[in-house]
Amino acid sequence: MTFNHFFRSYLLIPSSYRYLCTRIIIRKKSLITSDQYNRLLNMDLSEFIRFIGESGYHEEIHTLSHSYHEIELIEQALTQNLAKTYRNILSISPGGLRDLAERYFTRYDIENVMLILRGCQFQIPPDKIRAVLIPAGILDPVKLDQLLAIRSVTEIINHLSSWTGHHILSSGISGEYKRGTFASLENDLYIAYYSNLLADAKSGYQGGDVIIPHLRFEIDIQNIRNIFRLRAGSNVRDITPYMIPGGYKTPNDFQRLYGITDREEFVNELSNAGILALLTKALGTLRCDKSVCDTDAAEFIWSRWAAHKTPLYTIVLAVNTMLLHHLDGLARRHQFSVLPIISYLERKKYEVMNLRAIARGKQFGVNPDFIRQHLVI
Amino acid sequence: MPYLRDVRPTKSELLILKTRLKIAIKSHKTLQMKLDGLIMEVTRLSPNVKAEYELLIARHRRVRHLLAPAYMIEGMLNLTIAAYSVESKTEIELSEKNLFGVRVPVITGDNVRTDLTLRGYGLLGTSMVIDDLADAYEGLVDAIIAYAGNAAALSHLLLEIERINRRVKALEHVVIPSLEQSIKTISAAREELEREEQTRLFHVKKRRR
Repeated sequence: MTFNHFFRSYLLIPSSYRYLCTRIIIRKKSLITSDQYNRLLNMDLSEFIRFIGESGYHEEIHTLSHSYHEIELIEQALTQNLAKTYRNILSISPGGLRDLAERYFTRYDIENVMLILRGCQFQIPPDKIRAVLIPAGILDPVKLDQLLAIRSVTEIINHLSSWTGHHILSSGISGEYKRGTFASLENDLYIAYYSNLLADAKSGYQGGDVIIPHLRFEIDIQNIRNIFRLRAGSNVRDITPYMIPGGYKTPNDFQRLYGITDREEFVNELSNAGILALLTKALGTLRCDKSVCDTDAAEFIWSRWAAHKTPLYTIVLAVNTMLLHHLDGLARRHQFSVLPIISYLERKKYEVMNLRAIARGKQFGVNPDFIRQHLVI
Repeated sequence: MPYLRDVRPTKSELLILKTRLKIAIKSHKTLQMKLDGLIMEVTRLSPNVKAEYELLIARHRRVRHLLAPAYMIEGMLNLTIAAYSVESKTEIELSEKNLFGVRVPVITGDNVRTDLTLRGYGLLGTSMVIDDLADAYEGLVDAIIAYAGNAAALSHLLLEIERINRRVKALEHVVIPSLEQSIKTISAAREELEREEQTRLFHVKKRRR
């Protein structure tokens, strides 16, 4: 790239991107590093609380220390910090980037809305529901409290008329409640979430064209996970309602894959989708063995598929690590685009998950090596 | 302490005792047969209960093994959310059946194992560790129900065996020997009386001559 070419492309980047991306890159540096994770693995719970109380979670630890103790304190502090961080990103994001951030955070809204609807339908006390809400989405705590106070599912849906998933909710619930309605609604909301995310990425954001292949691959992986889950725990024949469209493979491709009983055919399908290569890397990382090859990965995945079992969750976490590294790589190459923002949001999410995994591991008294397998670093 | 005291050596008493002995022998036979039947039932049931207990322990171990990773990956909040979403409710039915006159409980469960798509939580918003944990807990509940029914039946049968055994032993070692002894004593006393009466009659007859 010549200097002129670089300079021209730099000038073409809107100032909003440069402003937000620079702030986010600086914030990303303050996230917990792998060395710090290694230190945390050897601490006990009280040292752990002191450590996070002196780092980015200072405010939450001090505010909540009177109401919660030990593991509950850690978990509540981590969740509240995640919600606060996401809200802060929303507040500093200008224009179109704010729309994208909002779209990304809708995931938490889906969780919260579905939880409130279930609480109302199954008459779970609002206090219990309030205790597990994660106000990291667009619906702020005040709005969530208003929804909690309503005692009818239809009224809750009417109250959400300005929310993105309102049309799905209103068309999904009519008349008396039927078993499985909420699960199917939740699936539809997530499918719409991915579809909206892809549509937004295509709508002209800096780096949108780069993030699309990543998103499509992530959708494929999510679908692969789900067909494993369906094969292990369900007798359902038509799996297309549970598949997310938008990936490289269509729901019909996954329907065909679902019925495969031949090893060669199955391995070829995974290999063509690029999943086998990723799985080989993940397996190698998990076993700390660089000699793991495609054949080992194929053998492993086929043995789980043939036995109607889900892949081990540690493998799934290792795959998540690979995806995160890939996203980080993209973010480094496209510094002033949506990529650093998404990369930071994902990193933050995994930081909270890692800290929670370490704390819970300490609570259950499991050894540090076992905890390490559950970290996405 | 003897089973029978203050027995009068009369013919009616002897008849009563003989009837009682007959009944006692018959009861002993019947109870012995019931005891054998119960022991056979316990012999048949106990390997099943042992296997069910081992299965229960294995499934409990699996749940405990999965609980730590589930809390580590999903955290308390997500696990609670998944738990609130569950729509299928396990129903436990209690009934009774008769085994050799012993009323034993029968415990059966309905809706214990559910299809992933019918559990209530959405597939796309949850992870596979929740499936594994839910599956492990369903398996554990299944094992608890199977074990509870048979273990309760076994415990009822063992209590009944203990009770019947006590009766059989009492009949065998106390009641029947005591009745036999009493009958023997009464018979001896009656024979003695008869002999005395015969001798008395003989002497009366002799004096008259």
